[in-house]
Amino acid sequence: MRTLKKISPIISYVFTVLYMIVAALFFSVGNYLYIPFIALALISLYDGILVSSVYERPNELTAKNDKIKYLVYLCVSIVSPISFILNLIVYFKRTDETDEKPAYKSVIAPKPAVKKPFFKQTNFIIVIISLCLILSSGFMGMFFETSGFSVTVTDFTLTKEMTENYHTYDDDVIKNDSLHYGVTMYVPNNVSAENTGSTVIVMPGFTRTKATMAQYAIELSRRGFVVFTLDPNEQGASGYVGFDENGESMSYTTGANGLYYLIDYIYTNTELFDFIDRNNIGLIGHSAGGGNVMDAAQHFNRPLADYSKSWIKAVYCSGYIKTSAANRYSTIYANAAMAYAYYDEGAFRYQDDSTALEVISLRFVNEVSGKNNGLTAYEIDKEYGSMADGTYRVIHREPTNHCFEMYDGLSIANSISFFTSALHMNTSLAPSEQIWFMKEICTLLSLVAGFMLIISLSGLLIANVPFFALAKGKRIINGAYVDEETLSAAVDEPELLPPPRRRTNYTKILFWSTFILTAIIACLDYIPLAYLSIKWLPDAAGNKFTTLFPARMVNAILLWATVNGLVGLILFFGTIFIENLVIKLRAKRRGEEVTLDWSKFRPLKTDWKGLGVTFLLAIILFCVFYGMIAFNYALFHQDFRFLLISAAPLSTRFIVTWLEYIPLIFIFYIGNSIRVNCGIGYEGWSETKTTIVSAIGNSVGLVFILIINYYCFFSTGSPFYGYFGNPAEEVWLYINMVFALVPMMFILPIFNRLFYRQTNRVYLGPLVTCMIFVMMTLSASISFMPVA
Amino acid sequence: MRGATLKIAAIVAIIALYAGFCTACAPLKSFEKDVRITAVKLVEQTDGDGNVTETTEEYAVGSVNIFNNWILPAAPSAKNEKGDPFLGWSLKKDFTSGTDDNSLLFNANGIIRYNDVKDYAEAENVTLYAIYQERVIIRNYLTVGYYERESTSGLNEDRVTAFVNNLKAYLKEQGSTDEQLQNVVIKGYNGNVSTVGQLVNDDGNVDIILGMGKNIQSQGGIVYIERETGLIMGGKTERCIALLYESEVARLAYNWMVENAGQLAD
Repeated sequence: MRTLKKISPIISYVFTVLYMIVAALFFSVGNYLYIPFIALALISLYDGILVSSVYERPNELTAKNDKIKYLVYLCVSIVSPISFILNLIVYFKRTDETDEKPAYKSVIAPKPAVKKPFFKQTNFIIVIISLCLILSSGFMGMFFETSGFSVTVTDFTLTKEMTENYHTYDDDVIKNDSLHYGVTMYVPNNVSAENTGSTVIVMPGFTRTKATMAQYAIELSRRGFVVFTLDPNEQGASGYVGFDENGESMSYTTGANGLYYLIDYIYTNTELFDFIDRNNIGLIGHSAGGGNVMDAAQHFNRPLADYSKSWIKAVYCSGYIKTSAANRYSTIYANAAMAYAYYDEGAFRYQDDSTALEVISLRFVNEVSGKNNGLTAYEIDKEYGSMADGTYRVIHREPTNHCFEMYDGLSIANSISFFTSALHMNTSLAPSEQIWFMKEICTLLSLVAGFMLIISLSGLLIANVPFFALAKGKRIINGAYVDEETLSAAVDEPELLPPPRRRTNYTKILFWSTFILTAIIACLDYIPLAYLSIKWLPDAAGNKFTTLFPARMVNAILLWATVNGLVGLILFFGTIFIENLVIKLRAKRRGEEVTLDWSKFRPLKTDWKGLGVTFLLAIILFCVFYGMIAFNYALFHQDFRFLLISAAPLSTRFIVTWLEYIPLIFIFYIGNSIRVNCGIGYEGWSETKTTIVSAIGNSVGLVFILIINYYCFFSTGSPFYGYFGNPAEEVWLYINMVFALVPMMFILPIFNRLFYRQTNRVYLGPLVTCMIFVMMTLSASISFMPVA
Repeated sequence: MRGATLKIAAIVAIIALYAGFCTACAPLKSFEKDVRITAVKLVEQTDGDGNVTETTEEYAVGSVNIFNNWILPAAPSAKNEKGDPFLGWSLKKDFTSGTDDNSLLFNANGIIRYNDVKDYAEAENVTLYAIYQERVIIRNYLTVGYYERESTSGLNEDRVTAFVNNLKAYLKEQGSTDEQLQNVVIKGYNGNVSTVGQLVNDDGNVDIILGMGKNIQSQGGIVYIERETGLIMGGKTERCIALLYESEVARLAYNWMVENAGQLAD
């Protein structure tokens, strides 16, 4: 019976989630049925709370009024049919509830730890394990990136001076000193001046760095190709284009995002790059990178107008169908492949007679080497033309979406097949035999270990270095300060501790209402704020170089974080105020003395000294985290990443950008820490429950953005958040950022909780996570900061 | 016994949850569906008694779904037996230009989308008819089009409306009546340049268009009579005003707009 009583409210909560999901689905397709489903969700939630409160306090059912109340709760639970059945069983089998557990367990004070020498402490052991894990996974990452050390991977910076010394075309010289490019080169060990290698240059898309395209480099280089990957303008390790004589921003994609400069440089520099087979050079790019590789093929091949003389013999354009010129494809004079994800979210923009994928695809197979083949239809995956004369064309549509197309095994296999044939590579490896994801797993382990390192190092420093212990406040148990002496005594006599806080139905409903409200606000305001970021910060949105919030895509997150941080803080302090107001009014009604509960504010209490030490500790942890990345990168050429989530070595441009973004975004992080540690952490739940609820609360709004967007997409073909406003502005790319934000927002409260448990204060967690997460977000995006 | 009851309860609960979820989702739209499209031409046949019967002759077959469009076939012939020119493919058998909505008409070699046919599909099948007739364009007293993508054109509805209101005042001074001025229409066109060009050409009644760039003809495919380039609109440079149709009022309006283009600059 006791189990049924536990299960019933839980099932009500599950129904709440289901109803919310269904409401989101209806909302996404503009069906007003979402309103009753939200109502059902709320009824199910509140009824679950009320029913559970009855089960927790069976003795209160003696009064007639209470029995009627219980019956009402029971009837309302019909919205969650399974709970209703369980409640009925409980009701009709109700006996004297003498075996019920007390509503609240008495809290036994945790035994103060006997201080061990630092090298025997758990945190020290975790620090050592983390370091070992970072180094070993870095080594293994290098092992997979170099295909078992059969490929040499090196970085170099392409500078203005280098292009001045080596170029064929004057256009291919970098114009501004501010512009330079981060390049990574993969050279198989069997390639030499005598045995030159077919070469492929890999181009990432908008807001992506070269490291996000490592999978292509790994798979091609292990098959014998020399591979170059390049950070596009203003992204990763590359510089910014700069200003013209009039002080106006030059085109931010100048030189096809640097591709022209790199191709001309390596093609012309026959001494340094004597291992390149200049008759077999290919290009591959994804999204905007796909546009860049088509531009580059035209740029170098069109003047020659003859495939046998073409510099670029093969070009693979993935995720890009925007054609800004008539006869775009007929002048590339190269074998070509086009891939476009079947579920590409950006396709909704191209839905007319001149821009639709079908029209572009037909042009792609028709417009070849200055001629038109006159085909009236085409087939996916069918090969057209001949590799021998550069007229080969093929179109692929992999069953994936835009931002994951570059991580799709089939997409990578298609590109391998294409280059193997087009660039005459002999390899025994089948295209489907891929190992790149092993490198991703290794760098993911590094990322996890990096986080483990800073958390355990923080604990170690606070516990063993008196200076850092200043960051620590008194321990708080059941909402009251407890010093170490009381705690020691309470181990034997728990009654010395303050009594646990009692949660009433009213406070529970208030808590869950604010929980749901903040999630709904976080879900609904992201895209409108992304749109406002375009309007309020037009320079960055217009791709102009500016010192005012220059990270165009992160500006959406900046506004979202600021607004939701403020909303969270207002709701948190507002609910405490309301709770106390109700206590006051009730006490007044009963003629009792008022004892207001301000205990939730206690983790906020600190002094300037404590705050200073906390800040210093946060900076040290940030430096250790990024120091380890730099060390790992220098040693093994590995950063910390998993697919789109990454922590890469720092660059000056992004540090300057980061300094600008930190203060505003910190509002969100401190708000989260306060809500997690002062709000959710005070519900009297177990640590696991507190952490899970906090993590879900912080990420569920963003998850619902994805649910709404993609349900609409899969049922109508257009994403819910495609255009916004009137006249319509494209906002679909902002959704891509949510994929990386969701895991970050999920782990943020966990970190805040862990740091809180070390310090009993709310500050260290948000300081460390804000610094690291904002840097991770910025460095994986684009910044128009005019700093070289 | 208690454990077994709980297990059964758990299984029943999971099944019920799943069933409940599916039931709740039932009114929701289903995912990807293919709609088969048959393009037909109407053929008139006369029997021995002189009776004329109309039959359909299948010309091409394709399909669409939410992620795939279909490129429509070329016109079966430039003209029909009566000498009427090919107008396009229509979902409506008796499509009449000038009366029926242009959204029911599709260009030869253009595309047709799932959204175009979804409301006309019966058992996931629709028929497209080859329409032969002269195109009828209903002209307003004056139609002013503008490129609605503000991030490119610098124009928005408020800015253009204010500009056209000033134009109306001028036209009134020049003798236009209130009734005529009520028939001055403003139309915003959104999308990339080629999309806008196609929409403008499909409408066919725009007299003057504002806010396009230099590629109005090359990319947009809009044939103009005269244009003024290098204008600033809403802070965006290299915008143009183009005259697409020659009439007395259109010419008068175009000249005034060129002279007063500075009103659109900020």
